[in-house]
Amino acid sequence: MQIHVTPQDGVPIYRQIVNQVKYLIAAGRLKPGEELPSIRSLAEQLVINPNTVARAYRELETAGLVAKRRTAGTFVADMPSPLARRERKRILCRRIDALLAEGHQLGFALEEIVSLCYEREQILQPSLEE
Amino acid sequence: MNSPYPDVAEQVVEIRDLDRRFGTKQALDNISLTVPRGSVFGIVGVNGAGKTTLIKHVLGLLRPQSGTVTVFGRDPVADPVGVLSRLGYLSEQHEMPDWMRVGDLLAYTAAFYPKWDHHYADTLVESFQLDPNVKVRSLSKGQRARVGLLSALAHRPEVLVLDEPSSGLDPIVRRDILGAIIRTISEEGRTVMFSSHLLDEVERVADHIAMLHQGRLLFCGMLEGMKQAFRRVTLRFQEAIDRPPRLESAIDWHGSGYEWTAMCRESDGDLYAQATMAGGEVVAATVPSLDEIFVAHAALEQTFPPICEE
Amino acid sequence: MSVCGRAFAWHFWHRFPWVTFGGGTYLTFLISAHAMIPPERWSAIVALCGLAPVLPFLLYLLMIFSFSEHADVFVKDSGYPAYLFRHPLTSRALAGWPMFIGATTIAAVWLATVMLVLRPTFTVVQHEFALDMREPIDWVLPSTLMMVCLLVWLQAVIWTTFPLVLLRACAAVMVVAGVPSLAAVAAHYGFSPAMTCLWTGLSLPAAYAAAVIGINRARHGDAPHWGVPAPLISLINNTVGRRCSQFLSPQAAQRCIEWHRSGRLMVLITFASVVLLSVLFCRPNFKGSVLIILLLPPYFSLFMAMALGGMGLQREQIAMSPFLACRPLSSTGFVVAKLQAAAWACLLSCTIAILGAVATLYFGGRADRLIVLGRMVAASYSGPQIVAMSVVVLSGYFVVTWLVNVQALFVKLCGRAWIDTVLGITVGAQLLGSVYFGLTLYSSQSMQANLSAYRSDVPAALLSLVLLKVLLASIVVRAILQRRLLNLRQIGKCSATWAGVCGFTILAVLYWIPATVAAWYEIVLGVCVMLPFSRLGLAPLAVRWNRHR
Repeated sequence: MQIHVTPQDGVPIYRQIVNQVKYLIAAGRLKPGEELPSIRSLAEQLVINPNTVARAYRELETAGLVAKRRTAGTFVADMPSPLARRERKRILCRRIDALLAEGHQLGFALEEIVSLCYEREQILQPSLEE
Repeated sequence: MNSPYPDVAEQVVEIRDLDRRFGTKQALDNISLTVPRGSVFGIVGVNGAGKTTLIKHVLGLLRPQSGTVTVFGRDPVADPVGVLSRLGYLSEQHEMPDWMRVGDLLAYTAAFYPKWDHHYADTLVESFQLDPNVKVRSLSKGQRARVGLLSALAHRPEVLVLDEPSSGLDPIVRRDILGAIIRTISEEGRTVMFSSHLLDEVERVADHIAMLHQGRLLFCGMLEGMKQAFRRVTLRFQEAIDRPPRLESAIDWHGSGYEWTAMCRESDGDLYAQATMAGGEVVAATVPSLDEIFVAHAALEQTFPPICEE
Repeated sequence: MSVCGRAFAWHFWHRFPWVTFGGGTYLTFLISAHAMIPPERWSAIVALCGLAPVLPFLLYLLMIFSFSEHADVFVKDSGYPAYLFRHPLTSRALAGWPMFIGATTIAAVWLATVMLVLRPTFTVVQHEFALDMREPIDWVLPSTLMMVCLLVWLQAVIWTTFPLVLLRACAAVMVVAGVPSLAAVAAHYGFSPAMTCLWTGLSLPAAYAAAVIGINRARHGDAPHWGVPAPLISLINNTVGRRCSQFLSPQAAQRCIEWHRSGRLMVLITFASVVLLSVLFCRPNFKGSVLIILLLPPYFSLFMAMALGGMGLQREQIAMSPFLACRPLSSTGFVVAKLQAAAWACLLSCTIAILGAVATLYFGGRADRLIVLGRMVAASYSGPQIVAMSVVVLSGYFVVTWLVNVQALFVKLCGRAWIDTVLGITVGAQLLGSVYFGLTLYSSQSMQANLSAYRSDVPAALLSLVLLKVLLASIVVRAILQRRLLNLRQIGKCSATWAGVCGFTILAVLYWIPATVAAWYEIVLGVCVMLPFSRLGLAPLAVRWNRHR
């Protein structure tokens, strides 16, 4: 599991872990039923306080994304959670927000941006099919 | 929590109204704090803020001029053996007898601790790639720090006290030291107390934090609590101003012209109302990193009453 | 003198202002004594009183000017302070100025000593010690050159880098022991002073050249390093390493540090001096040689006491180092480790001195006297009596040496440089005062007559002093109990040991001092006045004060 934390930006470390695990699940890089690293090993890998990792795992558990099995460890939840879809949507929304903001700044109207999207889709299509 | 040391209170270190004066310099000014069992307690502050002095009081190397220091419920001055045998200490200078070989130094240290774990010590010697037959004098700074760390760790102390453990060391040794801290607290009930000015390190591993400035305690409590207590607020003004506006809760300003950024104390009333009154508009408000809080306080002339969470 | 020379002089003066001050005071004292005492009353005693402080002072000057107060003779690197290497100076200037300043100072001090102490007492001393030397004026120049020669060669040895660890120690011993022995040999075989002057004078440029080369190499780090063969290393590691790999108790571990700090140095110095003196004294009609050899351990233990009291990791560091302060060992434990290490060092040194004395007698062709003495003793005492007597005498000798070593332990243990300085000055002034008093007493007949009138009051005065000491000791014991440094049982054990030590000392002194000089109770009281009761008791309190500042 590839996670990277940066203490310098204001986001608390446990939230950085939660966000990245959510992203990994949404992107399909963590499959349902897959085991997450133990609290201790993740703490040693990231060189952070184990309590922080524990807190992140608790948060993920309450969100229903992971399930703790007694004595066995922490696993990605089996059910394709609706939360995963919502999360994917959230990630996309952030990109669209950035696109719109930049588009407005460069003087494009919304219609122009939408038609540009169709245009790009046409160009990208063949390469996607390959 | 199922503590392996049930006879001891949950507070490992307790400091009450501690004062210390060196000549005319007030090194510590009315410090009160507690270090809970199982926490990683980071002490931050600029050079000369009083971090080492505070740690020396915990070790009993300095006698409190007023106030009390108790470690494991005992006075480290009255009962040095009882306190020190349960502590592990790594000093900033990594000072140790230069003429000894590494193996001799470990044997020497082991003689003082009945609970010295020879197997663990051997494992650490191997993982730190130390040669027991080399003299301490000829070790590099990083290897020296590793030897110091080993002799502070191998008796599995209840409290690990580290004074500026990673200043001037390369990233690999720093990682060894942080790893040792993490392993120490992973074992239930052990506590780590360390001072540092490498703030990203503190932010990574500490959960409790005490910020010292000119001998006074600015903040003491959970790290999250501290970060919540501050906001970095950017204000935009209608016209360019050449001096930052007066804002009651702001402790440090920087910026120019239309945009000014302030480090604000959340506890001092409603930021937005204050900003509007000063004639500006809040365009961004973020949680600052520890680094930014630290720098803002270092630039500070006056001092505020400490924010303490118990 | 150029700017650079003045800077070096300033450097030496500012590092050790007290040495300059003390040396100046002593010279003033000597000059006044010289002016006061008429020449016919000078004697060997006066010469010894005058010389005793000068020899350590000269040794101290040797140490200062060779920068060896921070240097370790057991390492390969140069002892020249590295921060001076970074100055924009040539290696010739770096070597030359300290040599020049040191040589001038030492020559001045030595000339003053010769003129003020040795010359007036020359005839007396020559007569008493059966020396055959020429007129004083003949050996003033050679001996001064010899002192300078000793300094510059020592400087060269300390400043040069050596390819092997033990080479510097060997070279230093060769210089320190070799130059005086050459002088003695020259005197013995009757070389003319001009010859001695010639070869010492010629060796000075050679020392300078060696120092310049050594500094130049150390400065640019191109020192040769000879590797010890790997099998030898593993052999050493297997023997030495295994021996040190386990300590039975915390005290044993701490003792190892204390032994390293001062113990082994004392044994080494005693060994070197005993060997040197035995070789020098191996002549049939040399009076007092055995006594001088036997006095070496107490004399050296007086100096080693300075190193013993320090609580730092470096020898000259006086404040307790955090590394030691953080050992979970009680403050009393530190003191006990020091006392034990000192006891071992004294025991070894005493043994070496006794063996050396016997060897001197034997090889000096005076073995017959030893045999006569043995026969006499065997004839007049029974076997158990002889055993008891030798135990008393030997243990008394050892205990006195040990007491000299540990009596002022608490001063350094306090870890405060100012206490050290103030007490040092007080004791120095006291010594000078008593020497002065003794000299005036010696030179005036009327005062001697007055003094004998007070002779009957001596026991009462001694008794009151002893009572005062007991009172002080009880205060100290109370303080120790209050701070829980020892419990009652341990105090009892310590007191019992101490009573044994005192008993042996008293018995030994009673054995040596004949009853005609003083009554036995006077001797017992006098010994009790000298014994450190409360001073030793102060040691754990001092450590505690040093440890928790």
